[in-house]
Amino acid sequence: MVSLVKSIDTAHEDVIHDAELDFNGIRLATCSSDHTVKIHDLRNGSQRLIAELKGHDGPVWQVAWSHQSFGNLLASCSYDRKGADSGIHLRVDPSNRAGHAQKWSVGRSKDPSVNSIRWAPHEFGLILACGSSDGAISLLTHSGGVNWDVKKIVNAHTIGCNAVTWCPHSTLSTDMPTPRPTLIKRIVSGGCDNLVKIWREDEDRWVEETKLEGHTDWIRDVAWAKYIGSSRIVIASCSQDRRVIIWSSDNFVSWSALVLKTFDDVVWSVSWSITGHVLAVSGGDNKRGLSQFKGTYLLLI
Amino acid sequence: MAGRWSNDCVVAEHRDIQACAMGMDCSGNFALLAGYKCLALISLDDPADVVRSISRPYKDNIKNVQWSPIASCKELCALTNNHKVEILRWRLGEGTACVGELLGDHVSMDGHSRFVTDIDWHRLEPNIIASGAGDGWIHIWDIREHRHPATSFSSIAWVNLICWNRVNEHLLASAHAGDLRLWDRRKHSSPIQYISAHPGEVHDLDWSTVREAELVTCGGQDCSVRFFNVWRPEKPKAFLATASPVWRARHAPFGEGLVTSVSSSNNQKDPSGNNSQLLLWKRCRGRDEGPAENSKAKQPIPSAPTASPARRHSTPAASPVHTFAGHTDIVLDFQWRKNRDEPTNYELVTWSMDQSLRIWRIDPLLQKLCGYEPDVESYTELQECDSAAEISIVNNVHKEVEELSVSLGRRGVWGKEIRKKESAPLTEGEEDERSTSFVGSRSLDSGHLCSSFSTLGPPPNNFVWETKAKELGCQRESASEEVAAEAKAEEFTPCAAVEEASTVLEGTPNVKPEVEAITPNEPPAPVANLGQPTPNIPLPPPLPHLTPPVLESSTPYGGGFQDSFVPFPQTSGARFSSAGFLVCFARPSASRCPWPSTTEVMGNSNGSAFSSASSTCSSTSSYVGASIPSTPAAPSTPTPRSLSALGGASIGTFLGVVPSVAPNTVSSNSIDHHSGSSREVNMLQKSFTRNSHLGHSRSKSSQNMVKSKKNVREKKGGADNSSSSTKGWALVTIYDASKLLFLHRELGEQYIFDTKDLPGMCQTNAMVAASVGRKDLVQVWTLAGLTASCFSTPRQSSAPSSIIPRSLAAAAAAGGWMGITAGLLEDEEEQRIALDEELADSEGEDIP
Repeated sequence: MVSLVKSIDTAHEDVIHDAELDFNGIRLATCSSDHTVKIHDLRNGSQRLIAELKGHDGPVWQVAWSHQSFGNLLASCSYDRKGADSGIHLRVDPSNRAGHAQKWSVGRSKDPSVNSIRWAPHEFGLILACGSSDGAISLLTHSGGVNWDVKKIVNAHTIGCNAVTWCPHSTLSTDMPTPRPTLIKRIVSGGCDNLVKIWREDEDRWVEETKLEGHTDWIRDVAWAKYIGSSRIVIASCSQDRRVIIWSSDNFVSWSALVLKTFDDVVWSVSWSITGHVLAVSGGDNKRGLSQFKGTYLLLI
Repeated sequence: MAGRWSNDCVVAEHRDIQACAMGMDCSGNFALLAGYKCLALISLDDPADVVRSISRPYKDNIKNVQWSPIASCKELCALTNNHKVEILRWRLGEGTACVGELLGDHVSMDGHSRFVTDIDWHRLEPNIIASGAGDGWIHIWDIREHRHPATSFSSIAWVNLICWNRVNEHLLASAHAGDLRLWDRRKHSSPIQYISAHPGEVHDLDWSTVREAELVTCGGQDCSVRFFNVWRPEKPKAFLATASPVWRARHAPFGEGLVTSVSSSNNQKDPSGNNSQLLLWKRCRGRDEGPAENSKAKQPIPSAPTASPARRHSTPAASPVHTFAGHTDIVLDFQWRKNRDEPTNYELVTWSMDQSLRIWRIDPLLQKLCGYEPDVESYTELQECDSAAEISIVNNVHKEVEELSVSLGRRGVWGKEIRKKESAPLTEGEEDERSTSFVGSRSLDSGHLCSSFSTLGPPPNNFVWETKAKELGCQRESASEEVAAEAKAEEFTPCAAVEEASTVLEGTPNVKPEVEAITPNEPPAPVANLGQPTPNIPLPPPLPHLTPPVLESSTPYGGGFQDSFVPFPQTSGARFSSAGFLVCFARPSASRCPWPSTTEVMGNSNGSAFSSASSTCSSTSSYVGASIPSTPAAPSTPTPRSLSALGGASIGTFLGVVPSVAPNTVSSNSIDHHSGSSREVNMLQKSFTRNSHLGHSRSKSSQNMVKSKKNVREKKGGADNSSSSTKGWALVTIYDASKLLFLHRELGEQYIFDTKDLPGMCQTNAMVAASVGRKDLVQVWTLAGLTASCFSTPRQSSAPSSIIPRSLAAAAAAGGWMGITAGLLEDEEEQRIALDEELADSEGEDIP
């Protein structure tokens, strides 16, 4: 059911930490411990390096493409050991400028390691959530031009925040009454306190809505399923404790936990498919798995 | 009642200095004011005159000035200067002619990459100073070896404040915004405790002078002073609400005194026109705190509306004793000194933003109000003290101890055993008798009691005997806490008890010689017992050593990175993209795995694993219900948790992916760029480690590193062709996972939409699904066709079926899901799913 399309040699000098395709599946951004971000154009079956973005002063942990309606911004976050400015860089669509990436200086903070960045669903506008190793979650909202408003959830996770993800915009569902409820921004985060926390925007402030306890070690990644078709809310989290837990709820109040599987090694990332029924899991034992929610599980490699 | 009488107060204005920091030497004779342009040494006997002024063009503010608190190095003064810590050595001798000259070159300790925010001399060991900075590092320096910090703690967060424990020589507290962390300098990999102290930034931090675990903090805008038991960090042990945000809160050297200074006077002006900048409080403990005092307190306790319920139910931690009225602006810093003429009297030296230095006399009455008993305070009096009185005190204590023994159960038994052993050899004087009796009775408490007796030298922090006796209850509390905590630990051996007794004795600062006299009489205790702390138990310090300890410069994991809190980087991942692709990357399967794990060798080397993977997948006919058993054996050691496991190596070399030598073999000192690739990399790793350890920019070294890696690869190229030609670590694989999804682009494009002929449409669509390979959808469409043909006749006349057209519209629109017109999608997608589910349901109904 899954076929190999292509494999790309990104020619990074060191291990890759994240790879993401843009919205149309055309450009591949990869980031690595060699302090660079590279963008490859994959159109027409070719593989062409269109940009090598330097500027980070440390290993780059994650990249994130914005929705194309915002012009394909690429955000990258790193552990800039220089410590001075910031692990977050934003660049305008590199391919439109013939490889010349414009660097936006955004999100300067004194926290050296930004572990996770994710864009909000485009319906909310251009908002970037960042989890960093000082335990804070920063929310950068574009406010026109080159200006960004920064909001910070201080001490969201003791020791450090390792992952953030937005609640998808698909709160609408068939069995929900019309008119639709007003859109509430939510993010889910996981951190070194072994907790998964759900945050809700409440009139300009972010408040902790739910605290999900279940993991016994650092959370490494969280993923919010775009689980369309019902009002069910599903979150997957993976952790250093080698487990993947699926959290589900109908109302954001009562949550049930299902341990999907205990893997052989640390689970590093979880990712839902766009329809929210297939979960890709990858871990320290170099395996990537696909698992279908509702019990069946398929190991890809 | 908060008194307001005028004190004898000396005022000296020094407007020209513009100082923002003041430090006083340990003898209390000199103060150093540090301003933008100059340093001014002032003799406190004549504070209006500047003894010596040294102009130094400091670019930045000097945040902090601190003299060494140890008498033998009293001429040493440390100050922060941007990224550096500087040590000045002044001549402070009797010869008035050359007083205030700088002796020798000043020492400058440069190890931080951002400006130093706080420094603190070690209270017991000379030459040891800690510094904290904005780069998140806390360095502990031995100023005799000032080029490298002796120990370093890395915290990710900005360090606001640091403070050595007064009792436990190894314990250091640091404040990071609103949090506190505790560090044991023997264990520098991570903090041993986290405390969430204030919602805002912590402004001041002070350890109790007698209780090891007690800490007072103030900060933020929350108008409170909080007292913590650091081993019970969940909530403050006590809480003191004030009228204004507090800038400084520090213990007084007498009784239960506490002095606070207010950080802004805007929100509450005193009716009399004086700003209540500086307040002296008496700390109330548990039982003997008087409610009457609170009601009498005029203004420092805020009125009811601001007090939250949480505040109210906790006991007020202190009652105001005195207001020092005089300063017209924020009091920046204050220090205590003893009055020269009357050693029983203290003086408070304050430096304020109004550029005036004041010296306030604290008369005995005030000290008494703070719970200070002058007649037992002075050690001369103590020696001459009536033995009857002592006995009564002793008896009191014995009673308490007895109770304690009962409450502690078997713990008490051990205590008595020790007592027997102890009392035999020490028979000389009264003092010894006293001390033995206490040492014997209960290890923890008696340690303190003993110390208060046998301290004959001038104590920097006066221990008050009377208070001590009263405090037994307090100590009992902490003792029982400890017992409770230890109950969790295993067997409690007599050796451990003795060990603890000696530990506590050693923990008290003034009693070292006596401790050493006693210690040899104790049965030898295994050192192993020393280090079995459960998280709640403070690490017992080892035997005191007056020489600075040999500190490891780097641990195997050292690296010195600030990365024990940064998660270990992921080297493999799989991420769905919105276009239905699955983007995967992994380190090459041939990589050496530094941690033992069950790595399967997947296919061939060099990335062809992926093709084998896809073949595995395609051989699985249907993914629904397919379950491939995974290898059951879990690795004995999982992947490391935090980045510190790398020990400063790059992740690629750590994994053995990027060609290099093993990082563990860093040994050679020779720095030679041309002596071979392996050594070169070694060297670079080393410099890389050191650079980042010191917080320097590492860009240069990293460039070198990349360059060297290239060199290495080129050199290796001939020998190991396969690994250099395809860099396995740089490979990204993209899979088309769209067939896993409910939605499919080709289907969306080829499906037809025809409400006239529903069965025919279903048939066509089933064929389309078959052509794409979605057998499951073929089944669905076939069933839908059957359903449609069954219902088509009766429903033709009436309103069209609610299910089918809608879902067909959805199916048709699904062609747009690919994201080219992303905005359209949500509803249709969703209904498309609904269709599938409904049909799947109907399938269940129809087939039987």
